[in-house]
Amino acid sequence: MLSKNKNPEIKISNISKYFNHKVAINNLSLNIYKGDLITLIGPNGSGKTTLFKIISTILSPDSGSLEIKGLNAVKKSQLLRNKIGLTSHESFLYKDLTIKENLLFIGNLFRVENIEKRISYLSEKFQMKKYLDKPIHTLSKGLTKRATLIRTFLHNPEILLLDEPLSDLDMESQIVLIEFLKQESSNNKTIIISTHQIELSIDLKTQIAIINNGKIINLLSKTPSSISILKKIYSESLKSGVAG
Amino acid sequence: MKYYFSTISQIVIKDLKIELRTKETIVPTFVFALISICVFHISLSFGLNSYQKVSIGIWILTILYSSILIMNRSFSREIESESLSAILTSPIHHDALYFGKLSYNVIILGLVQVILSPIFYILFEVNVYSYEMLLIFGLGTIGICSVGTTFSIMTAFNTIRDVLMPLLLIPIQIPLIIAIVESTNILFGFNIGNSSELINWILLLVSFDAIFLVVSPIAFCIIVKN
Repeated sequence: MLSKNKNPEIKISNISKYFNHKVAINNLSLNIYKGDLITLIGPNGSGKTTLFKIISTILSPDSGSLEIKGLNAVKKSQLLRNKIGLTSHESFLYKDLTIKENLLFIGNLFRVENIEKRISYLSEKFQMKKYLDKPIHTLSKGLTKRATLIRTFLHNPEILLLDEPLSDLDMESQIVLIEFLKQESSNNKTIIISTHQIELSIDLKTQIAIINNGKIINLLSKTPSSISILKKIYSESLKSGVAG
Repeated sequence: MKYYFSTISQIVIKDLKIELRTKETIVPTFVFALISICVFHISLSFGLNSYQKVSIGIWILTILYSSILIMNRSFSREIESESLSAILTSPIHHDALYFGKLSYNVIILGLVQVILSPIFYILFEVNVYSYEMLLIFGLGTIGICSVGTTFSIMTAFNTIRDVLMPLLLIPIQIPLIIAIVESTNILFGFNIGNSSELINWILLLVSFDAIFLVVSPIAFCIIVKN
């Protein structure tokens, strides 16, 4: 996407996705390189979540091609899933199981080595150690979100897809998450964040992709210096309509 | 291969653990099955001298409808708790998910039959405790669940799944039902048939199971992918 001369880590070529004949992703193309940190911003229903579901191989595109690490993501989805971590609006956690039981279950599916150690490290990082034996249905939204984030990072994925990662988190947890993402980014992880909280892109100094009507309408390779400039670019991009 | 079987067992253990805590499948299913056989017993007691000839039909009907309750819950629980995607985003074979769910459904349906059988024995005076019966009902349970597990993912996202499931499931299971009825009738001496006929009906049960244990996971994977 930016300056890179290597092969893209994620190569999205003219993909489209329809739900009941209604377009959700419209001929979208985007190259994302290893180590990129990108924020995806756009209005509700612009296609952010669908795009994340396609990249995470939960959904297949109706047309176009998606390559991840040089592999066809539709045909080789099983191989690639180990390398992708997805946080969605849904928690992906079993409400009648404790946090630890959930993490052990998911960790075993992902064949995580030293799983207890990894759970201990992440739960300490996100201040969840004392809640590990609590069932999910007894937790507040914020604690459930923290458990969801631990689940996402559990198998140490190389590509992180975070859909509204800050929602439901208190200020302290948001700071912890931002620091963690900075650390992951410095470890050359590819991180894509979808958010309405555009200040996050300033905090993390990310590249910014503006999406509307299932298309990327603007791509900023450099983070604007202030939120007000970003807001101006955002509204102008939406007004100017669809690019390609 | 080790990972494949470990995945299946992880899914079964997880589902049994949730069931043990919530009891949201086994209790309603058992109560339904119990009420069904009691209603049949009461309603038939006025017209028949002997229940035995209709007892196996009653048993099959009860178990078939109980299985629908069980299999309807197996994926709707995942969807209600928004956790199916957790499995779908993991690097497992989707057919491992199928066999995990199938094993869980067979265990729960088997458990319902084990708990229900003494009550059935008391009410209908039919001895279901023999190796042959265990074989027939074991094969029948696997057959019912092998088809039903695929239909349960197919209907799980549908709001009318409770209606849809029996409409899809029962017609496909007609050969299975015939094989169970015929083989048990020979066993109880209600039908004139020799042991070779019994073996033929049991072979039909085995064939049904074998076919659907191959076809159902393939169909399941296609449904999940789409």
